Amino acid sequence: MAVTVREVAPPPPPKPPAEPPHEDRRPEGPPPPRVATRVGIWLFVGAVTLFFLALTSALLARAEGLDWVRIPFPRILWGSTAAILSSSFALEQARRALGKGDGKRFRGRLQLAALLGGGFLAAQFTAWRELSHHGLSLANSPHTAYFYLLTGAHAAHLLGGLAWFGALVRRARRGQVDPERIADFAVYWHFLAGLWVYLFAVLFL
Amino acid sequence: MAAATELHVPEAHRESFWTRYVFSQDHKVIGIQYLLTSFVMLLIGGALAMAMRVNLAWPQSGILQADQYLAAVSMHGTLMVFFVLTPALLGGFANFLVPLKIGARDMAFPFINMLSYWVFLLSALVLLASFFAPGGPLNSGWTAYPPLSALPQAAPGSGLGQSLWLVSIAIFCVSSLLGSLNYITTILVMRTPGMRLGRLPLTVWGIFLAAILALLTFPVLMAAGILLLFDRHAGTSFFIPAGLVVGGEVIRHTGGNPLLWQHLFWFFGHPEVYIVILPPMGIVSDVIANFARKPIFGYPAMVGSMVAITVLSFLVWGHHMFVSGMHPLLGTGFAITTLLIGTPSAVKTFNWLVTLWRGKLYFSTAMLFALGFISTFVAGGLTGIFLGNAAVDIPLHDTFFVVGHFHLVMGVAALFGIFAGTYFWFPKMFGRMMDERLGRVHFWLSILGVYGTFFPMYYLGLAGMHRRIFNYQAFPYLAKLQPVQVFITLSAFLIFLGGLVFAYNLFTSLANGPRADRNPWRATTLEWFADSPPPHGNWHGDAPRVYRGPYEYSVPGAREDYLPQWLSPVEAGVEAEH
Repeated sequence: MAVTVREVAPPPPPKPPAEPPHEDRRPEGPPPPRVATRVGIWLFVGAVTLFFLALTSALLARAEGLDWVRIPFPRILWGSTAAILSSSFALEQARRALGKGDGKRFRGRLQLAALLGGGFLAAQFTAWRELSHHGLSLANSPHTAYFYLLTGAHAAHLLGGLAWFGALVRRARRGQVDPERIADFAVYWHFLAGLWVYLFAVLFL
Repeated sequence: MAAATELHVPEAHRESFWTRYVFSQDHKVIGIQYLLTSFVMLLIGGALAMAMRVNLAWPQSGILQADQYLAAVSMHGTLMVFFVLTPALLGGFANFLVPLKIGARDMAFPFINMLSYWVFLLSALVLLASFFAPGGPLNSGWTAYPPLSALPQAAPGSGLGQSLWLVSIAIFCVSSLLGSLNYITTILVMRTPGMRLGRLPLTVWGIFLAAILALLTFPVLMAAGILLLFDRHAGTSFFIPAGLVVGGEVIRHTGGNPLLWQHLFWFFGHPEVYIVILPPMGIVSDVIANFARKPIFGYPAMVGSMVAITVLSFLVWGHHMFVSGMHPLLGTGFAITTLLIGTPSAVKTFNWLVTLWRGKLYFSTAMLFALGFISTFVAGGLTGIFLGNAAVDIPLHDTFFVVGHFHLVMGVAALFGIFAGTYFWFPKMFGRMMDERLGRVHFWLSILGVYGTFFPMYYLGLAGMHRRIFNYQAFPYLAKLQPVQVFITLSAFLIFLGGLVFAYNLFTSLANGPRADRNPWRATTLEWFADSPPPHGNWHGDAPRVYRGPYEYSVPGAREDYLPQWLSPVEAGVEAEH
């Protein structure tokens, strides 16, 4: 490339490459194999699954009680369900585009997926507003208690996922894309979508 | 030799004091941090036990008020289970040993590993802060059954103390997740070439299986804790039933089910006892093979029985709830699964005994504690067969019989495993030997004290002595048993005295112990290939390769009476194992 360098002084001599910070943590050793992150994420997903299984089994035991009064179904939840499922779908489209080397479509779909994730949270928030508008608080009835608790716990996990997603989008914009990192994230993101469908079914079916 | 190894240390190694010893990502430093923190908590938990024992032997001494006694019971249990046994094993030894034993330079996720220790320390500080809460620490026992734990007005410690306990346990669950995730991943993907699963030392197997249990059960405890926090602070009624009257006031909560807490708690709680017993089973196997100079008898059976224990431990939690009015058929089911666990436990015990049979026994302190482990595991485990039967459990439930049972089988046995491991690996951790003479004093005080303390408890339990009872003197048939209580308390003092000897030994050996060489016990597993203490990164040059199983002692035809895992067949002068 014919780029004119308008410098008077000659460029400084190249500095010896600084040791990357992780090097001094792992002297003389290879980094852990790439698969370690994937295994770690699956284990985390397993632990989160047990957490929600415990909460929902508590719900199912309680739902047999006489004082179980169903709450009105907030319609917006259909919207949040659609948002989280299409977010998962868009993420897969982004990965497929990446596989074909279509960087533009990849970035577009990735951002769309992240936006839909944010849309899901907004829809959940609207549902909470709607219920509290009806005067249904946490302490009101067991069904509201479980509703707020389960959706809240799911939203907390999703919020962490969104922070991770944001970092990936930022990197993608800078052109730093590692398909393996995206695949790592996809495990967690699809898990959250599946978890929502499960919670939806347990809460309202 | 020393000069040659110096040359291998790159510039980047020289880290500041803070990154090296405090905010370290080195698995060995983190392991030692866990272990030393556990020992501090052991001292606090032990002191609480002594206060309780004084009160039981001499109720008129007035050393504790009723609520203080209940707080001491609750904090003793919490400290010992969550802050001594669990972190010492699935924190201390797991961190120190796993990478060294499988031939890895460090954990899979060193930063998460460091985080797990600091999160653990935070949970410990939150718990200790509850000593200073108005009303004191929780009164509801380490199991925190509602409604006592759910209603702030239920007992003096049911206020802030109980809330701090719940927050502390929730933080602990996070720390445990970060730790166990690391151990499992590291063991799965970071093994050095040749280290097949069938060549893993049994300590690593024990830690691996315990980490799986922790990964899958602590989230359930976390869920239960969050539900209870909501009951306490958000007005929900997950666990609080209708119609409760506390202090003359009708409680407004309705419809909750206190048994739900018990199910969730024990779904975690029973695997928890295996979380703290599987790693010691491994440690004891390593120590016994070494000091009997024999291969562990039936390695595949040892691994298989540990796996069986792990699987079964998910299916037995109901045996803590036989008196809760569960359906008799369900109770029978839980009784059957509980008794089934006796089978793999017996397989392990017999395999240890056969390993000892005709071995060249050397009674080092580590070996004594390993034998002590087997002894108390049997003495406590056999009464588990009584308690596993619903019909026998109902009259014995919540008596000192149960206290004696679980203290011997999981409390003392796990602690003996920790002591065996400490005496065995201290040279590797600090490059110095511990004093064996003081170690023997520690052991004999401990074993005499332990049997003097917990064996008579079986008798007390059969006589009807209730656990967690402040003043049994109010009941004439129990008041007559005071001499037994005095005997138990005197025995318990012996254990505590032994603990002080251990602490003294630990610190003086750290400062003045004789220098340890690389492999002072002439052991076979990979940690003994590293320097004592191993440098950051564990090995100079290449990591070792593995050529054989972990217990190749007294191999016929070999030059020495042990064949280390790292020795190539050529160096060893024997045929390669296929």
